[in-house]
Amino acid sequence: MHHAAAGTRRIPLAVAFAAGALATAIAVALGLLLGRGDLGDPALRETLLRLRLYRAAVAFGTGAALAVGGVLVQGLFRNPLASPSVLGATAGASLGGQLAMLLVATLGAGLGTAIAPEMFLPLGCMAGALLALVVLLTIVRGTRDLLVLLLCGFLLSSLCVSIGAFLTTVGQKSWELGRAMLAFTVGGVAGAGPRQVAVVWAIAGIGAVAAWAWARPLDVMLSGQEEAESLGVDTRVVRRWCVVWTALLSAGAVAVGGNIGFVGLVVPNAMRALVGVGHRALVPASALAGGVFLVLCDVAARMVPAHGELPLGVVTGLIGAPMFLIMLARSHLWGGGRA
Amino acid sequence: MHDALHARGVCVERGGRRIVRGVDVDAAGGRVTAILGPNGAGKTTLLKALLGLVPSTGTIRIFGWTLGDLSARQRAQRLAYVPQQTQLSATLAVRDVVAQGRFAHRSSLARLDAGDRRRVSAAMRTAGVEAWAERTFPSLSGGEQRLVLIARAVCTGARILLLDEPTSSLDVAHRLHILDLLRRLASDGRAVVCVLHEIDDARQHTDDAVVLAGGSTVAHGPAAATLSADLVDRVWGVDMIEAGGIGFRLRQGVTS
Repeated sequence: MHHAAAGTRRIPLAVAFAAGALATAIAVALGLLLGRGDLGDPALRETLLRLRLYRAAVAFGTGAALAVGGVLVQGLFRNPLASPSVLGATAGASLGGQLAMLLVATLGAGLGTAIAPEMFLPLGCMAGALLALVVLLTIVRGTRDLLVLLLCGFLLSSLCVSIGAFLTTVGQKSWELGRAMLAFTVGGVAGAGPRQVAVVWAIAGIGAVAAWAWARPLDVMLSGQEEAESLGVDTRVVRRWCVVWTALLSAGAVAVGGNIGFVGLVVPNAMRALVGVGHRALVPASALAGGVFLVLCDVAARMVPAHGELPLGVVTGLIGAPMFLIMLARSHLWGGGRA
Repeated sequence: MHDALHARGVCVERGGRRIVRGVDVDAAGGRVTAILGPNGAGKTTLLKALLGLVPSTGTIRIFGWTLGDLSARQRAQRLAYVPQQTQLSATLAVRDVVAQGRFAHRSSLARLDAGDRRRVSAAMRTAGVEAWAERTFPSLSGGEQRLVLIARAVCTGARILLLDEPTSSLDVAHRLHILDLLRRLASDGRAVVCVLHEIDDARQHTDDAVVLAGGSTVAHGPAAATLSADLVDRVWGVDMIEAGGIGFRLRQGVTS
């Protein structure tokens, strides 16, 4: 029988997506039913369910965006250890978000009413990610060397983190602002509303479709840049667009969820073990699994006894890091081959 | 009538150093052309320049078309490349690796159609790799992987095949299978150009030879006549002994 898509699949595609749909349903149900607050109270039930639904929806969209971004950047670098942060997009988005928070706090009402105040953070993240991206693409213009791109991304990321740390220090002059910037840094989807749902779902949806459209060139690029070019892939165009979509996906995720690590690293690798290395299956599988993973992490963040809620970035780190180590030990990463 | 591949005065510079200096290459359909020379002579760089994978100056024409005027897809439909060392380490099935050869023939969003699938199967049959169709590429030996990459090149439908040291690091049986396969591919009208290290392989199994040293052409012409004892002495600094020794050949009736 012929494989329509590239990659050796461990399980049939239909079974994988049926399992994905079931996992999504279970995760959303858990997201709605579990948490603080009594659903038995008729006065609170509707409000609680609505808030939890927004929260689950934002967590799902954020997880999907991070996972698809991971698929793109890992495919681009042919390296399962790569993540969107290597392009500097995550750090750029985070810096943009921090700057937006400072601006809102400093200028306040002076910013006018054209844009709702809660949209400044997402817009700041977008601007930060895109600016980082433009700087990156300007620096690496004309080069075909992925190592140069990787190193420039790393340097840009370090620069953004340093400036972000400086801004956080500046933000400490106000207790509320300092706390908000810290919460943004560790990540979370508490307090999500319909605007955040719309932002992250639009970006995750468009980004996933775009990533899926680049699946075939990315499959051929598994053979390396020179071989892909000899087979007819315009690697410069593929690289440029994959970088753009990775940056937008990262910005969307950071804007509504803050800094949430490991999703873009762990989920695509786990999905490769289930659906194979072909990007046509890997993109939708990772989007679904990333969404489910983050909804479940958010449920865990609500349920673990702590003073207040456990930050979502802490939960993904606690779950993601050991999962990644287990996968590394099992050498599922690209068939245990070279990174 | 155009040569399949016609290159004049090809130069490649890297880091201010000229690696290939004004090399001419002609390759015609039905013939196997070997590019030989000592290590560092610029053979691989020349091959990549002919593929358009490294920037070069000079004239490179493919069936009369200037290489630089062709898009990436148009090049891939006319020129196929078999690298010495593939970067492919992903757990793709052999059939999917060979199917990569069809990329340039359809839109990025289109699936393989029945015609593509027939060509994939035919290319696997030609290279003798159909028995491993469902195995993963990394699970194959080096020689088997080389055959799969040749099948992928055949699958592109290109009439010019450029191979970088296709027989290096292979045992004698795989080496002879590949040389026999190259001859069969040329006999179907393809122009086959390959970088080789073994002078005796080039004399026995190829039609024409281009010999490089220090990035320049030292000699070119029919392989057996060009690769003389005098030339070998001048270029490699060793004596060529034409008498005695042992040789190997494929058994009658054995292809790949």
